[in-house]
Amino acid sequence: MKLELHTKPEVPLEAESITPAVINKLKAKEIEKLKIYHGNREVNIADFFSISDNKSELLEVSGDMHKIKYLGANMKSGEIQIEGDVGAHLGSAMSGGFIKVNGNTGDWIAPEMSGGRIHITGNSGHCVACAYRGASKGTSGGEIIIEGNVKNELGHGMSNTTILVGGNTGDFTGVNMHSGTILVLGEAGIRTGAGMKRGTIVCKNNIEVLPTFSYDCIYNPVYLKLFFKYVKENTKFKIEEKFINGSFHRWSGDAIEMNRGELLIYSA
Amino acid sequence: MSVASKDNKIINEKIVENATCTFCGCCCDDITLTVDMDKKVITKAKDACVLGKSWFLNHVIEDKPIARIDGKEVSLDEAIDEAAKILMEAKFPILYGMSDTICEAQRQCAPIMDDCGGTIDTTTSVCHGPSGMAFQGVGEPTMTLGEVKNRADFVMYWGGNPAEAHPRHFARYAVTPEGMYTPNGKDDRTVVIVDVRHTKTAGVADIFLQLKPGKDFELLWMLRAACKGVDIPNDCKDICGLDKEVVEDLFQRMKNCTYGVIFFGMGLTMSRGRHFNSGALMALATDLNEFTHFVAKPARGHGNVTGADNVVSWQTGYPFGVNFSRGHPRFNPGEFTTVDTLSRHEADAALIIASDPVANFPKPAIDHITSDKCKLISIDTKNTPTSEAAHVSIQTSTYGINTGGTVYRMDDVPISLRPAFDSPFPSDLEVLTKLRKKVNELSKKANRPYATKKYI
Repeated sequence: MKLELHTKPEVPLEAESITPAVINKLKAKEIEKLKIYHGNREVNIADFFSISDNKSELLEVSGDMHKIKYLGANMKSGEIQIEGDVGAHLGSAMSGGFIKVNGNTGDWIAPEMSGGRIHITGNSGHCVACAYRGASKGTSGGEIIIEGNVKNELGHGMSNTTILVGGNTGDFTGVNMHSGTILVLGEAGIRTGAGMKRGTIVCKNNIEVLPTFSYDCIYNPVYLKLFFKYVKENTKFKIEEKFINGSFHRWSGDAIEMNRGELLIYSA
Repeated sequence: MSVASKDNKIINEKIVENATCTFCGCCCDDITLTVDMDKKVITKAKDACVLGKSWFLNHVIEDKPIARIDGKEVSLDEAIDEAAKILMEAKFPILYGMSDTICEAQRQCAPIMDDCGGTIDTTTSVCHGPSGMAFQGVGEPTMTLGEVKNRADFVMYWGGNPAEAHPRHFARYAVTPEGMYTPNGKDDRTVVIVDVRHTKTAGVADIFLQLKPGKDFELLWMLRAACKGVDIPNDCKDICGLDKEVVEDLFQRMKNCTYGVIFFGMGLTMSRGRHFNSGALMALATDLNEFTHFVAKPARGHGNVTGADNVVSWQTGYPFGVNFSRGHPRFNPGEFTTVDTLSRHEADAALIIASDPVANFPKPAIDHITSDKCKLISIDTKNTPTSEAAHVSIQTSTYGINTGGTVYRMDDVPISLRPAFDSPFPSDLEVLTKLRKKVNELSKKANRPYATKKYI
């Protein structure tokens, strides 16, 4: 099925009904009548999207959707391909399936994600894979690949999630994280890993380490080679051999918490 | 009462005892006002600070219409009808401000936004909003200012300048007053100021700590780690600008006091790290309870901004940035806070109550709120850039001077107001009650599902 934006929303549009599980079991005429929310008004999908049946299981959505929120929310299976920029809460609470975005995304990507995969070719906003305000836990699984840059609070409170960032990240990357892995190939902002309990943050470039982290050693972790092999096979990231085989400084933290998280910083 | 003036003219004078100043969050309720009832001006404000004197003595009844639409004078009812129509037709209306009005008027705001499916936000979102977020994340080790006066022997101000922003805070509550367990006033207290620059506040400090700009979080984090038994690092000076020995001494003083309190300001909440800074400070205060009694409190600015937080919290469950467009309250600062929604050109109507965003907000937000894409409604006591730019503008009387009601002091203690004299302008409460009724009528006509919800 193919959805193409024909009218730009004037105010935020919340479209959690645009998921493969909902769309793929309906005919085009039925999809047109599905409800989405234009601000405080309930409207039909057809008011904003033209729908065509291309007889494919892949759900294609296109247009400048930077004001459209909750695309792919609660997704359990299937695949969405988005051409263009998209707004906040993409893949909110998704537990399976795959979302590919050929464009940039807004804030709050994949909050409360527990499974599935999101691949963004452009940049992302703040609070990617982040715990909602007041919650101590964020994502609990899944994989997020961002080829561009990300702003603050990437992976706040996350568990068991893998996040791969080709560009830079903002401040508080991996703050309060419980477990999982974050790879940053660009520059990371300040206060990386603040309050982390467990998990691994791998940085290609040097970072300002918080005073509550303690230096352990310089070494060549074997599992990173496997990890980088996986990254090379599944993304277009340029991972140089010297990085794969290089040494890493290991820092433990955060001492305020359990001191069992690790920062691995490439030793050039 | 009638008294003779210096030139023997008879003045119709009124004395108001124990009036409350609503200029700042201290809400000092011991002011004695002398009012010239003929001229309708306050001539004396005994015991008020420099800010309070300015607040009371410069208040005049302006000669201007109660209500205007596009600059033309209209009746109050016409203005309210137009405002209600705008709010009901809007798809993403916002309500912002509320920090300079009474709680009774604030109570009308959430039902208005609920009925028209909009977003309610207070000035908290541009001052102590990060603290509100941190309360949710880490909790709030709290107290009243009375407790501080009577018990605190360690008083710390972090990232604020109360000598100029809350001038009576020292004398009434925290530094010099003689309390039950601090009978010698300042001699029984250690006063510590942490700031990035030497301000007037630093003059009262026993210990002034000049921090490297933007390193509040790092110092707080080191102190938190010290609570867990981790040594202060040797490169402490490089990290935050303070010697290791100084930070160790600070930690020992915090740990060994009988009752410690930290007041924090926007130097902490609005610098890089925002809610993590506030969260780190409150978490530190909580951690210190392993050793002694320790509390923390934001030093709030506007007279009743604390009331706005309380009222919106008890009505919606969240303190600010609450959206009703899906029929239930949703809280997400950054997504539903006013500066952000305006800067992203999302809001299509704005109801501004007792606030002046056109004078204070970032340019993209001002450009949008004053554009044709966003219908602006202003309810304010004074002519401001916002009220001048508004499509519908309603002038109201000033709380604490012309109208009574309830405000919350910065420590969440409710205080009653004692107005000095009447105003020809309606109160915020009267205007907002009428607007709420009108919006509710339109909402029921439009079959909005939540129009019949009951509010306390």
